Amino acid sequence: MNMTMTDYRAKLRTDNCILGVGILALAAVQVLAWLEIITPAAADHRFASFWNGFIAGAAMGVTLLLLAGLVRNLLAMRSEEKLRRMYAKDYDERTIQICQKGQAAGMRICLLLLLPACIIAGYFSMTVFITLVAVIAAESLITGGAKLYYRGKL
Amino acid sequence: MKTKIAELRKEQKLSQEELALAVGVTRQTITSIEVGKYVASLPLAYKIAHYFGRTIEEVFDFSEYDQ
Repeated sequence: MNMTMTDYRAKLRTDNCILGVGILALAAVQVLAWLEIITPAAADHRFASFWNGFIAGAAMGVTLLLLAGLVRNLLAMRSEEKLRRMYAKDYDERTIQICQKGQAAGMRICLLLLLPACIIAGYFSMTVFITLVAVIAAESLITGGAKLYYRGKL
Repeated sequence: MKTKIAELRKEQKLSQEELALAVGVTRQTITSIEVGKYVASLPLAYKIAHYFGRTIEEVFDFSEYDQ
């Protein structure tokens, strides 16, 4: 991908806005979960407590990742050298190829593993079975759709 | 694919990091190209050759593709 440094700076500014909104939204989720304002539909108090803790913790983890990304972007935007290095790292063709091949192989393996998981789950829980069937269907449709899209584009 | 990138770098006393930054890739990509593990795309091959003031054929060895 060929992008000028000016375009890259503009892209980083947009990314920073998105990261900022994400951080605020997740902070709100953490507060709502800790205060138990949002609770799962299940009536069991133990599960509700566990779920709130899980959501708050997961939201905190993702918040920290987004904060790290935001700080990285802001520091890079202060120095032309750091910006060029970050650009090279983000758009390195070999890295992009590794991600694409890894993700494609990973998706295929996941789909193959989901099938026996779905069958095994069916012996224990109808809810889990239906959820896994939905996941398999969604993954297959999305993968097929993405292939059709890129077939038309390339 | 064999290349003359390592020789050209040494002639100009250039590190892999410096060349990587100049052509907009990571040092690991330059390393992989030099050892023949990764084949550069056409735009990247052009950037590297142009950086050394050479043609693509002078930097990259295409003999394995000759029939």
